[in-house]
Amino acid sequence: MAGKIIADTLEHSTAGSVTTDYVVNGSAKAWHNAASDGASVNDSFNMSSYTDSATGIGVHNFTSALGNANYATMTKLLMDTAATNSHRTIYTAVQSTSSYTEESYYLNSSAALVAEDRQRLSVAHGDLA
Amino acid sequence: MQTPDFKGTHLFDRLCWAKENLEGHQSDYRVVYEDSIDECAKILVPDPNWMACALQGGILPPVWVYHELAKDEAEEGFKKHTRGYLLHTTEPVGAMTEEEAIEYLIMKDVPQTVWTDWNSGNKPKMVICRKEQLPSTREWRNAWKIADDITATDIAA
Repeated sequence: MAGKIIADTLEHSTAGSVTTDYVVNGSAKAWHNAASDGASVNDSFNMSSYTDSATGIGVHNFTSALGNANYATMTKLLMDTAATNSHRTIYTAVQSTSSYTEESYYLNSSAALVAEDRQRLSVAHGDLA
Repeated sequence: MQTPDFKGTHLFDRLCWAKENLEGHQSDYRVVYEDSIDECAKILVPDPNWMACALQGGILPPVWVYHELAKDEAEEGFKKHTRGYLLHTTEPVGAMTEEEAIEYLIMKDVPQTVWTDWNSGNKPKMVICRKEQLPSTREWRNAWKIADDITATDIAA
């Protein structure tokens, strides 16, 4: 491919050097911005589809699979200042090399978790297959 | 735009090229399916950047590659992929129509038990529809089901 640079180390004139392993291993391997209606994807990288499985439950499907299921995901829910309940959580429920499932909830006045749809901003870090 | 000759290029690098050079394509198609009698219907939403790759051609691996990797992962004691090279070295598939891309996506991201046997029960387990055919609000989302009276003939129509 045109413009290809093969290098094991990047060296700065004064700040030192870093091996390109840091860049390869440290870069996010996928990201996703899914709309709160569950029916559309705003933008992404390395995702083939999003499955709206139920209220608050969504599956992110990779195009280029991860090498193992021990990768790290981080997801945030887009803030909604109009929402009356401010305590929210989202967690990864299932991880495989081809997808990960997330569930999002808010805490109601009885301190119970209630499933909720909200815009998701999600990133996956790990090794590619 | 012509796709570069990506034979042997890492799939991730191909996706980087696509992200930089192709406009995302928001498909109007949605795939509604039921893979458990106890759960509500699930809705598969095609990713716009993936769809752009499918329409462009020369980027995505053939779908059987994903099936091979899924077989490996289903093996007892699986720790990590040792045949990931299939994603990168298998010759990419050519340009697809949007409908062909949806078929490919079904075979990739919908459970195999659904699409191999989608019309064997009392009603279809899977329906391809337009986004506007989905309920307009999320009310009672956890009760959404494929209509009981839908038939394969209705779907074909």
